[in-house]
Amino acid sequence: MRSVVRVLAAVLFVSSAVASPAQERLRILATVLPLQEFAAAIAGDRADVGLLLPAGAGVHNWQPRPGDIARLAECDLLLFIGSGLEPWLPGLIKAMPGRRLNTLEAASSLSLHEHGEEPGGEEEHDHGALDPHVWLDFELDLRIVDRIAQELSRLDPAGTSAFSANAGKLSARLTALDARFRDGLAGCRGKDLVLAGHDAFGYLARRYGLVQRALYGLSPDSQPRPKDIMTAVDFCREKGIRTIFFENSVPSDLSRTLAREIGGRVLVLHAGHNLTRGQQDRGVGFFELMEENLASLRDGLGCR
Amino acid sequence: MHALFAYGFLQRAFLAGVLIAVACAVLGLFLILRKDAMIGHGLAHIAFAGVALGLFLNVLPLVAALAVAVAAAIAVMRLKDRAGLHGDTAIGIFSSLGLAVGVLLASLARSFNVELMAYLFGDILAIEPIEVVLTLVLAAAVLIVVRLNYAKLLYMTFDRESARAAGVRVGRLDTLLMVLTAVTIVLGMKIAGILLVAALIVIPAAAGLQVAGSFRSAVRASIAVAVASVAGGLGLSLALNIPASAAIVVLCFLAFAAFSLGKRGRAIRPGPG
Repeated sequence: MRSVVRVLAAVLFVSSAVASPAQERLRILATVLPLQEFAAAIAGDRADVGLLLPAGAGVHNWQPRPGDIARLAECDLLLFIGSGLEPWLPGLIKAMPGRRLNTLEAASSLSLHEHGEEPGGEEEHDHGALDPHVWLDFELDLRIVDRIAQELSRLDPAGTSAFSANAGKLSARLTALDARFRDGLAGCRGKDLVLAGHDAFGYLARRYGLVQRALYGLSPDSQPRPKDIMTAVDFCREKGIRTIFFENSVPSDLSRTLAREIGGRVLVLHAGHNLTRGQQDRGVGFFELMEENLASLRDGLGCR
Repeated sequence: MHALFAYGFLQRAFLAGVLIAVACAVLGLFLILRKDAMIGHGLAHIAFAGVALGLFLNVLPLVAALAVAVAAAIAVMRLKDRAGLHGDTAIGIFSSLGLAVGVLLASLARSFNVELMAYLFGDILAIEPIEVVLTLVLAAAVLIVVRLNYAKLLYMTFDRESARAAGVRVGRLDTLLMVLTAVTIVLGMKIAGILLVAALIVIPAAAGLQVAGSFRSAVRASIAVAVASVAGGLGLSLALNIPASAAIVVLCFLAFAAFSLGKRGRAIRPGPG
C-alpha cells in the first residue's frame, strides 16, 4: 500500500515537473486594452496577458470583484496607466494580501499634458489634473512599449531577445499607424474636434494639429450646463461645423441633441481603453479601433 | 428669454419638463396621501434591475424596465395589502431587491455600468422630439385617468375600507395608479433623470398639501409649484450656468419651505377664524 502511495507521489511529482514550464509562463494583467495588446504582442507565447476589466466596464469607476482580486494576487505583473485613470487601483494595491504586487505604471515616465490644454496656447489656463489618456499618442506608446519589453526581460531574462524583436515589430506597427494618422489628417477642412463627452482625445488632437472642444471636462459623469451646450452650438454654427463626435463610453443623448441643434450628425470616436461587448463580438482590437477613429475623423473633418 | 427660441434643446427641455412635472405632481398627491412617497425612489431602483434584465436577455432595455417596474409596483401594493406591512416597508424590500438583482445581472452579463447608465439616466437638456411626444401622451393619460376616476380615487385614498364597502373596486384602481406611477417614473428617469423625477413626485405635492384647503386646490397648487419650478429652474440654470435638474429640485424645495413656513405663521397667529 505504501509503495502505491510512493508511486502515486512520484507520478504526481513528475507530472507537476513536466507541467511546470507551462506554469512558468508569466501571468500579466493590464487595466486597459492598449497595455494588454502591447504586452501580449511583446510577450508572444511566453506570457498570458489578461485584461483586468471586463468588456464594457468604465475604467474610471470600475469596482473589482473577489475573482478579480484573486487574479491580481496571482499575477506576476500588473500594467496600468496611472495618473488618476484608475482611481480605484491604489487602494486595491495597498489592500493586496501577502507579497507586494509587481506593477508598471505607464504614465509615470511620460511628461503628461494637462486636461484641456490647447496646442500652442501658452496663455494662462487652469492648472487642472493631468490627462491620463496617453495611449492615444502613438509616439508615447513607443516609450510604453520599450518599458514593457524591459520589464518583461527583467522578469524572464531567457526571453529577452524574443521580447526585443517583438517590441521592434510592434513599434513599427505603431509608427506606421502614426504616419497614417498624420497623412490622413493633414489636409482637412476642419480642425475642431467637437466632442460631446469628456475630453479623452487631447493627446490625439495635439499630435495631429486638431483642437479638442469637449462639452465637459475631466469627469465622464459630470453634468453639462445649458450654457456649455449653447456655447458649443454657437461655435458650430459660426464655424459651419456639421459633425459632433462622441465617445461611446458616455450616453449618446447629448451628442444627438447637439447634432440636431446644428443640423449635423454624430460620429463615434473610440477612446480605446476597453472594448464594448459589441466590439468584442466583432473581434476588433486596439489597432482596428484606431483605424475606425481615423476613418471617422477624416469623414467628419472633411479630409482629402 | 430669446434663447428659448434660438435653441431647440431648450424648448424641448421646457415642454417635456413641464409635462412630466404635471404628471408627477398629480400622481404625487395620491402617493403621498397613501404614504407611498418613496415609491419614486423605489421604482427607480427596480427599473435598474429591469434594464439589467433587458441587457442580459438582449431585449429592449427600456421595455424590460417598464415591465419590471409595473410588475414591482403592483407587487409592492399587494404585499402591503396582504402581508400587512406598514408604510413603506414593501418599497424598502423591493427597491433593495431591485438594486441587488440589477448588480447581479450586470455582473453575470459582464456588461457593465456604461450601457446600464445610458439607459437609466436621462438629462433634461438632451431630450429628443419623440420624447416630448411621449411625455405629452403620458401627462394626458395621467390627467384623463385621474379626472375619470376622481371621486373614487379620492374616496379610496382617504378611506380605503369605506370605499371598498361602498363598492369601489379598490384593487383595480390601485393597479391603475401603480401602473401610471411606474410608467411615469421609468419614462421620466429615462427622459429627465432620476433625481428630477423622484423630486417632482414628492416635493410639489407636499408643497401643495401645505397650503390647500381642499384636495382640488391641492392638485392646482401642486401643479403650479411643479410647473413654476421647472420653468424657473431652467431659467436659473441659463442665467447662472448651473445644472438644470439640480436648480429645479432646489426651487421645488424652496416652494415647499415657503408654503410650510407660511402655514405655520398662519397657524400660530391668534385671532378669529
